[in-house]
Parts: sequence; C-alpha cells; structure tokens
Amino acid sequence: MFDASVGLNHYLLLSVLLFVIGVAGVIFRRNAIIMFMSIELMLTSVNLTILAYSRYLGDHTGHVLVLFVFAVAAAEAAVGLAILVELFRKRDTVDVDRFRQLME
Amino acid sequence: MEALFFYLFGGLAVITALVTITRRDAVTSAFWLIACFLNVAALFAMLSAQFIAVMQILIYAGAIMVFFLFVTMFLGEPRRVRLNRGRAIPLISTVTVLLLAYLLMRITNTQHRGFPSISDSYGSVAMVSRKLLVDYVFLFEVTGLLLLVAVIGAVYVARKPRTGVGEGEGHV
Amino acid sequence: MHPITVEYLRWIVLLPLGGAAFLGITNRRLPTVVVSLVASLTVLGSFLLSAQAFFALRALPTAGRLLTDRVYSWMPVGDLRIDVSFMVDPLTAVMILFVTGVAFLIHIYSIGYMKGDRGYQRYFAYLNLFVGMMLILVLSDNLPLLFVGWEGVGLCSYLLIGFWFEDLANSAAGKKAFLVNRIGDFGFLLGMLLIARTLAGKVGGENLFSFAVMAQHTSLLAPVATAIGLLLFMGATGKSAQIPLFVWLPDAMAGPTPVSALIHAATMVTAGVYMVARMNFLYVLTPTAMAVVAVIGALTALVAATIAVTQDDIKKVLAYSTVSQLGYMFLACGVGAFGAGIFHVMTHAFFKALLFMGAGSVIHALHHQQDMRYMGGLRSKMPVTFVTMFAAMLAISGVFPFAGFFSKDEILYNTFLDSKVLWAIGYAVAGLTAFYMTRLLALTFFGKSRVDEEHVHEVHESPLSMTIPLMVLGVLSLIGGWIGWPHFLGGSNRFETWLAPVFRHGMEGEAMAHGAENAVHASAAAHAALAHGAETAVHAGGSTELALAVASLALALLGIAVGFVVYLRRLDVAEAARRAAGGRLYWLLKGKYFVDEIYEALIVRPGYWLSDIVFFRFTDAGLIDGVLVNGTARSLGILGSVLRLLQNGMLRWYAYSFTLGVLVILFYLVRHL
Repeated sequence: MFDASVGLNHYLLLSVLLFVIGVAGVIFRRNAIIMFMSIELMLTSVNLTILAYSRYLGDHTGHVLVLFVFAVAAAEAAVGLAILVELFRKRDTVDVDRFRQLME
Repeated sequence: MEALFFYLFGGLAVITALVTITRRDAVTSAFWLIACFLNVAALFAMLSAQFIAVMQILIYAGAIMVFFLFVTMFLGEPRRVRLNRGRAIPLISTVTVLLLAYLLMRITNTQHRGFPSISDSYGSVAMVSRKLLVDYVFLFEVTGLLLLVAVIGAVYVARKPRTGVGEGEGHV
Repeated sequence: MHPITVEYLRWIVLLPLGGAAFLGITNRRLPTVVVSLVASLTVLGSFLLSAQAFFALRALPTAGRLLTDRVYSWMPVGDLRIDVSFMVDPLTAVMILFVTGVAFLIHIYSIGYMKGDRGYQRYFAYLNLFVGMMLILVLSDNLPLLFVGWEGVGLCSYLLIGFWFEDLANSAAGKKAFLVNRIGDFGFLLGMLLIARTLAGKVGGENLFSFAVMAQHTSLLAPVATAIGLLLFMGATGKSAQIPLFVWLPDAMAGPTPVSALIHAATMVTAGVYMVARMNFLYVLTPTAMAVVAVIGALTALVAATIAVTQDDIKKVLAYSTVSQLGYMFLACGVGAFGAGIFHVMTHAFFKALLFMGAGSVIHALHHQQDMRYMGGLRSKMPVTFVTMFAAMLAISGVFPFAGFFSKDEILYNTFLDSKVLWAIGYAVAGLTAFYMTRLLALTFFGKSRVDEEHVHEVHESPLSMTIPLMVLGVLSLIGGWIGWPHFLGGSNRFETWLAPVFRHGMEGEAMAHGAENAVHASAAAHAALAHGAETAVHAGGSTELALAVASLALALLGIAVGFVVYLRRLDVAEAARRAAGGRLYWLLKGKYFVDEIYEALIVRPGYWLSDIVFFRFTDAGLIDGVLVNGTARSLGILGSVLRLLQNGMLRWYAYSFTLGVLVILFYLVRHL
C-alpha cells in the first residue's frame, strides 16, 4: 500500500473513508446540525473523487462539476439551516428524534 | 515526497473528520470540520486543481462553515444531546457502516492507476473558467438562479412569523 | 440563397413572454393602469417588430424571402440537434402580423371588458403568455419548437377557459378542452416520432425536424407520408376543433369573451390550419391524407353550421360558426389550396374576432345575458356595436366586397376544381352561414326588445376602449380581403403571390398528383405567382371562377334575405320548420347531434367503468393498495416490530434505510468482483 507513487485508487480509497465517516455521522448522531455537517463531509468526499478522476483523465469537466456541487451545497445548507432555525423556534431543540411529523 | 504529503493530509483529513462527528458540541464539530476541509483543500491542490482548492477554502471552509457556526451559535445549543439509550442501534449501524466501507473499497480498490503527466496550465483559473463560462454557461446561469431561489426560500422559511397577517391572497 | 439572420425575431416572442412573467410575478400588486400598459405595449412592440420583419422580407427578392434567428441549441443529443430557432418566411409573416395585430386590439378591448374583475392582472398575464406561445408556434423553424408553442397555447386556453374557476362548470370546460386536445396531441407526437424514425441517421448533423431539412428530404418521407400526415392532422383536429374532436370548442365559451375572440376564434384554433399549411411539402406527397383533410373539413363545416342554426346562446352560435369556418380552411388545405386556406385564416381572424367582441359588448351591456331569446332591438342603443357586427356578418356571409367574399370564394373555386361533391357541401354551408348569422343579428339587434325589465334601461353602448377595436376590425373586415383581389375581377391576388414561394412545393406536387387539367392550372399559378407572368393561363379559369362567385354571392344574399324575413316578419315559418319532420331534425340539431352524449356513452362511461373496476378496484385498490402499499406497510410493520426496540427516531430511520438500500445496490454491483 505504501507505494512510492500515489495513484487514482489512493484518492478513491481516501474519499471512501471520508464518505463512510460522513454516513456514520448521519446515522449515529441525533443533532441535526452535526448531521448536516456530515452531509457536507460526504459531498466533499465526492468532490475529491471527481477531482481525482478529472486528474486521471486530464479533463477539466470535473472541475466544473465540483463548482456546481459547491453551489448546490450552499443552497442546501441555506435552506436546510433555515428550516432548522424554524424548527428550533417551534420545538426548542435540534434533536431529530423529537421531530416525528414525518410519521404521518 | 508526493506520497508523504498525500498520507499526511489524507491521514489528517480522516482524523479530523472522525473527530468532527464525535464531538458533543456542534460548535466544536464545526471547527474540526473546517480543519478537515482545509486538509481536503490541500489534497485538491495536489490533484492540480488549484482553483478548486482555493474555492474549497473560500467557499466551503469559509462561507458555508461560517454560516453553520453562525446558525449553531444563533440557536445557542447549550443542552447536551444524549447518546442513544438503545443498544441494538449502534450495533446494527456499525455493522452497516463497516459493510458499506468494505463494499465501497471493493469497488474502488482495483489496481494501481497512476496519474498521467499533464501540462502546467491544468487546473488553472483560465482553463476551468473557459470550461465553465463557455461550454457550461447555461448551467452556470441556471445555478445562479438556483442560488437565488435558495436564498429566497431560506429567507421565507426562517423569517419571523408575522402577527396579524391580513387575508391577502398572495400570502400562503 | 442564404437566409438572412436578424436578431430581433426573438424579441417578437420575448416581449409578450416577458410581459407575462412580469405580470405573473407581481400578481395583484400593480395598479390597473400599469397592468394595462405593460400588457398591451409588449404586444404592440411585437406587432411593430413583426411589421419590421414583414417589410424587411418584402424588400428581398422573391426566392430568398427568409429571415432566421437561431437563439440557442436546445437539445444536442448525439446526431440529433434541435435548436430554439425562429424564422420568418412569407407564411409566418402573415401569421405574426395578424396574430399580434388582433391580439393588440383584443388587449385594448379587454381593458374595458375586464375592468374591475378580481383577476385583472392574472388575466393579462395569461393573455400575454398566450400571445408569446402563439408566436413561438408560428415563428418556430422546426416541429419540436412548434410543439412547445402548440402545447403552450393549449395551456393558456385551459387557464383562460377556466378563468372564473369559482364556477365548477367553467373549470370543467377548461379540463374538457385540455383533455380533448391531449388526444390530438398524442397523434401529433406520434407523427413527430415517425418523422424522427424515418429521417434519423439519414440527414447528417442537421436538425431533422427543421422544416427546411424535411422539405429537402421529401423523397425519404414519401413512403410514410400518409401515416405522418394523418397523425399530424389528428393533432390539428384537436387544436382546430374538427370532427371528431370539435366538442371542446363550444364549451370553451365559458371563458371571458375577449378570450373567445382571440384564442377560440382568431388565433389558436387556426394553429392546426397553419401546421398543415406549413407541412404542405409533406401533404402533397399523399393524396390519401389530403383527401381525409378535405372530407373532414367539409363535414365539419356542414355539421357545425347546421348546429349553429338552432343555438340560442349567442356565443355558442359563434363557436359553432368558428368550427364551421375552420372546416372551410381545412377543406382548402385538403384540396391543395393552402394559400386560400391561410387567406381565410386571416380574414376569418378579422371578422370572427369582431363578431365575438361585438357579442361581448352586447353581453357586457346586458349584464352577462347570453341567451338571444332575451335580447332584441339593441340596434339603436348600441349603434357602434351594431354597425360593426353587421359588417362582420356581411363579411362572414361572403358578400362582395367584404373580406370573407374573397377568401371563401377562392376556397370554393379551388374545391370546385378538385371535387364537385365537396364543393356542393361547401356551397351549402355558405348559404347556411349567411342564414344563421342573419338570425343572430336579427334576434339581437332587430325586432322588439325582449330584455329583462329591470335591465332594459341600463343598456348602453360600451366604452371607447371596447368600441375602438370594434371599429378597427370593422374596417379590416371590409378591406382585409382586398389584398387577395382575384384575377377575374381585374386584381392581381397579391396575397397568393406573396405566399407562393412557401407553397411552391405544394403547387408543383399537386400538379404531379392530379390530372392534366389541374396541372395546367396549378403549375401556371405557381409560375404566375413567381414571375408575374403567364396571366393568360390563369385567365383561362376566370369565367368558371366568375360564375361560381356570382352563384355564392347570390346564395349569401338569399340566406340573408331568408334570415331577415323569417326572424323579423314570419316567426311562424321558423316554428313550422322546427316542427317539420316531426321535430326530429330540430331535436337532433338542437342536441348538437348528441356528439357529447355519444362520447359520454362510448368513451367516457366505459372509461369510467374501466378506471373504476379495472384500474381502481382491481389494480389500485387490490394490487397497489392491498398488496403493494398495505403489503409493504404490513411487511414493514413486521420488520418494524422486530426492530421496534432499535428504532427510536423516525428521521434517522429513513437515513438508515437509505443506507441499507445503497448497501443492497452495492452488493449487486460487486457480485462479480
């Protein structure tokens, strides 16, 4: 594993690790804000994958894609956190286990 | 040398990510996540994506995370979120996560694929922006629209509930 | 010759669309004046740009009359390249001029008509959207973009028919229009797909849906031309309310009257005719499809005209009259006289918009009374409305020298050359038209007043914003046909000359498809049109044409005379006619041939039954609800009871099952690794 040269699959493995950590964050944590951060972490790991492939293929399209992911992440964070603020106002907590409206 | 930096930043990224999701306090988590993003930005730079690396620091570690911190502090989360009472959930979740990690690695870790050599201008602002503003200019504009909609949506959702709203029809 | 690129074409479309977006976004927040100004000025802008395009086109040599504006590449998929691209050729120039012109007048009219309505701004937003969509339809240089406009106007039609949606009947009428149109659109889509299948891979790199490309490759299309022609015509029967899909148009009168004038008389419903004319290069390849178009057109004209004779609702009479006139236009296209069809589209837009707006003016004055049995004697109280509507009546009846005379005469003449039977139907319809329009006028404006006692003193002429458009259209109904002044009356039929380059294929193809006699006429017409020469060849048909014109003029005058006599002096004759044949005929016509009822019995009821028993009770309630939904719920419930101890947070349960799903997919993916 400790080859002298670092290749595509090194980066892929690294982004798998980061992605799984993100998934774990979403599944294990009940604090909605930390869940959000975990999602950001997952997005970043995907960005890493895209950039690694871009580098591997010598194509810039992946860079553009990553920029779009940034924009989507920003939009998602804005709306998500706004919803969170509203929920907090109503329920005084960010513990997702206490939000059960989706059961309906 | 490159391998050394890769393991350094990669290792740091994984460690900071783990720390991020294990902190009790969301503010602490956010700071660790910023640290993680900085490491990832370094990895981006190593992939010759200089422009994206800078953007990662400015937009992600900068703007978005500041936003997170701001909201976290705004909500003022003093109460500690308790850990789960159930015992089976952590167990099953752990199994799931490990299985996921295993499978993903099975898929990605095939054989060693080295990076080809590329010209110096790869990843430069000029190259990326040509792609972005020529080939994908329509998507670029649509993304602008998406952000606008997101901002309006966020403001609409999070605005102070007005009292005594009239029966104006435009008001849902 | 290379087409000339002009960038302002897109603004013809963008102005009304922009107006619609602006009015829609700021709904209910703007003062009435601003709304009226934005709505009408954007359409006026389109009209001026259209006029500019028209003059630019006229300055070009005959063969090279084409302006294009490629906006952007819409769908580049592999070899297929579909552009958002506009073009103006002589046909489009005619369409955009009268669409924007009539639309502008109707915007002005609506300012008066819709005054004080709660949905004032919404109304104008829809109306602007409609104008934009209609312009996309006629400006498009390829079929898919035309289809965008086609569906867009359908949407606006739906929105505006159900404009006063508080009344359930109105929204039901909107839905009916939408659904019936959907049936036609299905055919249209199939036709497009057939074109794509036929041409795919054979026209390299170009937009195979572009009219120019299709016209170049007619030899490839020829084997399936009949199928394509019939499928596209199915779309046209929906949009232009022909048999068997005409049932929606009379119900569409539920919308505000200016909408009936603009959408359901002057512009949108003529989209089908426009489409057939635009695809003329395809239709001339297939005598079968042409014959179907002609027969359907003639039958629709007859059926609708007979129904119109018995209707009491003033707007219903006009609606059936519209259906009937649309039949005429298809008849023209079906016999290969595309130019005559488009000519009638234009003149019809003038006088039918005028008739509807006049009817609207009457309805407005009578507090939304639409039943002609409660009108009468309005002549002196509403002089402007009366005079203009009278002009329109003369025009639609085909009285010389009003606009309808020229277009209708040209259609009848061309039909006569093609088929005597179809001509006889068309001729009879001309008489019927004159009769029922006279009936409408006699019941509304002449005789004694039958208006409610309480309203009779409030009846007054409409405001200037409504009467000025009436006057403008009144003048157009008179002189609008003069641009097609035929050869046999010493004119030069400049309208046909103008359109000739578009229908060049049509005329030459027709020449090949028909016998020698027609060939001489058709190709001579083409040459005369192109080179202003060969006048003698056209004059050869002059005496027949003159005889036919005199005959139809005589019939029109007879129809008018009978109408006035029966409905002003001898109502007993009308009563006797009603009882003739045991009242059966009247019953049949009054019931509109019971087409709605037949559809109800044959299609709607079985549809309900099928939906209820097969789709709802068995498939939905039984399979989907019982087995799938409840079954899922039950199995999840079982799973849930196992995991109950574990599950204490709903949201995270979703996240968790999400991950589980990913796991399953991953297992599937790595099974070979």
